[in-house]
Amino acid sequence: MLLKIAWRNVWRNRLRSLVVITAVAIGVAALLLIIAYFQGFVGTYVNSVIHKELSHLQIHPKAFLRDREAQYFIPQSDALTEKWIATFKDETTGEPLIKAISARSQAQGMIVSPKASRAVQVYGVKPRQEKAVISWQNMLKEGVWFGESQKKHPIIISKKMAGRLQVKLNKKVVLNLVSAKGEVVSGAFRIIGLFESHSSKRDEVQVLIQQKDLNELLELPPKAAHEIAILLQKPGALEKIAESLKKQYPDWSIQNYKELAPEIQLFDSQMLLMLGILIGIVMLALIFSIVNTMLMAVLERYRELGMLMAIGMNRLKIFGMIVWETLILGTAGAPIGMLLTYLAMQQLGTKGLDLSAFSKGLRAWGFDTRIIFSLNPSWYWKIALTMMLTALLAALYPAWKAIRFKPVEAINKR
Amino acid sequence: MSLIETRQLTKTYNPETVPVHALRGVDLCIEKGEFTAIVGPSGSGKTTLLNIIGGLDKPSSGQVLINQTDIAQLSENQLIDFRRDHIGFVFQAYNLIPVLTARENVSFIMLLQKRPAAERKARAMELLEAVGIAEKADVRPIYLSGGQQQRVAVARALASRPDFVLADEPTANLDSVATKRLLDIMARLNEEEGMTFIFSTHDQRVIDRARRIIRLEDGKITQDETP
Repeated sequence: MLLKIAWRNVWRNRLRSLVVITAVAIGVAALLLIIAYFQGFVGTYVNSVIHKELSHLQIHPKAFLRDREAQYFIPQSDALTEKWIATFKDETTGEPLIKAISARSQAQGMIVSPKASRAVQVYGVKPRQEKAVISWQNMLKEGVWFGESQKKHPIIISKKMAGRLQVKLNKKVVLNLVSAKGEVVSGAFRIIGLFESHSSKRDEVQVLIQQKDLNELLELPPKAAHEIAILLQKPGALEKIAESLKKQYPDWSIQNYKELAPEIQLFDSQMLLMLGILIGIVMLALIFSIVNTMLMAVLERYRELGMLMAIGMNRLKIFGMIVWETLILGTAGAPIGMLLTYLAMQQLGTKGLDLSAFSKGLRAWGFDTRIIFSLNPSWYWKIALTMMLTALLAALYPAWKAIRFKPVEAINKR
Repeated sequence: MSLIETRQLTKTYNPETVPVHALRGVDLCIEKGEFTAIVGPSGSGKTTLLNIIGGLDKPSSGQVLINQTDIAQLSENQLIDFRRDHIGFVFQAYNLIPVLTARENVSFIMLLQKRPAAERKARAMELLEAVGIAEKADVRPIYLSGGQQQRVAVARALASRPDFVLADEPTANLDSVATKRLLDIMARLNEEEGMTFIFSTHDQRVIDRARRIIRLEDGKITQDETP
């Protein structure tokens, strides 16, 4: 009966209750969509970092990372990568934990065109391996990938770099590098492709040639590499594989993508902080709105509440009735807000939100311009609990106020 | 042994600023089965006396014994339970719960007493029939006339099987027909079931039906007669 009275009391002033319920629904939907946006924002960035730049794990000789000299390389990289693919398998299914590996050579140097020159980071890649690890097919905007052109000594550079060097497809550029023996070497390459990555900073320095060409130029053994990038089938196996490799190869640096891109952890922690602040602000606004409405409802029923106490309804029951009313008022909007979020996520979770209007700023920081919203389902019940807590907190003052009424004063109020 | 007994009852409002002496030593005994009207001009202390007898207010001094229980000594929470189980209230402004139907209003107090659902339902209907409003059992107060609402209030007052019913100006908002009908019902319940009714009233129609009239003036009983 108490719940029935509370329910009917909520609907005594239909418009006022609907305003609060709508406010709660909008608040819940806004909160969930903001969470989905943040998660999608960071998720899209992490996804870009993994699939377009770093992969899950990278292995370098520690000396190479320190001095960046070609002489510090991983020998027999082919044999190693084959061994790792065969070794790291899922204990239950026996499936390989590693999806793809790319062994790369690296060198820093200058790229020169007839009209300009730039400092570059040259990556020598095995075309098939590299394409399996990094989504170059999505980033290659003009021209073709290695192996799809008959041209000798092909090179792929960014569109931005091409603009800076004032060159086009099929034009020649020259790379000036330092070999493993410390001598300045150079080679001419023909541009077969132009790429555009998610990061404009990367586009300013990275160029790709085939590993065999780079190793020949640097006077390295054919199977030497400075960097091995590993893409995992199951990201959950990351720590296990990293630990195992660290034990086996103490002279090499084994770094996961979070160590290679520390800003990811910063984003994670900042996102949590921002969400905490946002949830707090929305809760506070809703608490005030609900308290205001419930206080009005309680004060309007001064005489009625006094009468209830007069005829024998004790304070605990009065308190309970007001708490029930507030809970109904505070939580009725939550399922509506969740439904709105669910419907919005059908679009935003698949097609995402196009932020190309801000593409310059986003690409400068390595972000994609389309954010695919992502919402962990656990947020639905977390927000539901938060709303219940909000309503409960909002109930306390009006309920306390109600039980402070003196029946004799309430009844005789004219 | 009296049903209600007050001994040297006083009530002073604002004792430390501008004292207003609402009751000045009221001694009163009311027996079971009485049909009593407390009358007097405005400000004479009628409502104060009724509030104190009903456990809604505490006296400044003196005793209020109801079935030998001094209710002035009970705590607030004990008083709420005492009122629920021993006293029926009929208010001038009816004060029904607007979101409940007539039957639910009558049942409500029995729910507070934790009576079984079947008993609640049966007694509520029985009482609504007794006050002649059974056909409106499932109607909310807003759709009832003043007289009908007051009859539901009487049914509610009786639902808890109280020792007596206190009615504060019960006919003040009713027309002659509704007043007559309400008084007929109360008089019948008094005569047939022995229910004790105590009214505070200005209404001559109520005074004419009362079997005992207590007149208050300036907080004192100036007349106590049985016509």
